Amino acid sequence: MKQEGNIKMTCVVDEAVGLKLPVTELAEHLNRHIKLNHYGDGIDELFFVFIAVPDKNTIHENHVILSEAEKNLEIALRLDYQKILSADTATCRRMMQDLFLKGIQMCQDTNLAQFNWEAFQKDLAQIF
Amino acid sequence: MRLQIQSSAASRNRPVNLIPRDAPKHPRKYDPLFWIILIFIFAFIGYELKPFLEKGVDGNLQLSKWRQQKLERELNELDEAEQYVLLALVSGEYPCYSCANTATIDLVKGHVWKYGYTTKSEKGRYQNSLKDQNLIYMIQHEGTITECMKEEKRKIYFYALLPENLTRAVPLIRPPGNKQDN
Repeated sequence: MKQEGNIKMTCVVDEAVGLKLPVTELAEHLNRHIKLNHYGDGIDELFFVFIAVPDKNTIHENHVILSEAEKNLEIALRLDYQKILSADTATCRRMMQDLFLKGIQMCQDTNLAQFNWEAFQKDLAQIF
Repeated sequence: MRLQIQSSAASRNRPVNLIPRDAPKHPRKYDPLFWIILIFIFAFIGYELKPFLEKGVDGNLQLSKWRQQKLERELNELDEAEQYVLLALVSGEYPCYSCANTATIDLVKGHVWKYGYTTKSEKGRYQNSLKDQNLIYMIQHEGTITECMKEEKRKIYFYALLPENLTRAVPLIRPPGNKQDN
């Protein structure tokens, strides 16, 4: 089953965190308000992975991978696992939004692809 | 090209890899990329020419230090494995490789789509494992690669007995996303 929109999200979690993160809700919210092609033609699809695993797990590391041919950007970043464990859904969502913004800031800092990251960030700040 | 930056923005200050996957299509004759590739070729040749054997204190041949370290690193990576499950993130239709007569199956949020295992050395791009979207990756067991392979196999076989499977008109022999028993 494919996600609608150009911003796709998922999470990597352990069983203690389970299905707690409101991934679908956040992705749907973004896709309702954001169209990636408004910011340039460098990225057709943004795939964001929220990682919520204990600190000792070294298999899942932060990364940003851009495929220029597919115009596909994958950003995977770790949430604070201990905070997520005890957080309610609203807090989880705020933490996810903050992490998403951090990922976008990193892309802006490195001037990744043909994309207006600054305008994107401004629009995100308005809808978050 | 592989550019690594230290990310102060990322949580816990872990390094963030920026990996443009595609090289420029037509590099010019004196393109900087040409020199970078040349340097890599010489570095690779130098690496391969490094002696892989050396004499030990007893006079016998043994693996050189860098080969021993590489072996230990690779063995350690095999010890860092995990068995995971891919779960439906939303209720809806998903591809089914173990259905007898249909190519898709309706799953409820939280239902199992696939069991798998991975090691640290295999980990890379999530699009490879989560290309069928609306799935989440949940870790179920951490251990050596052998433990995780066994755990994956148990999960695949015992999937047939899960309540979510038994309530189907025609239960599946294995999860929808697992093409085989391994």
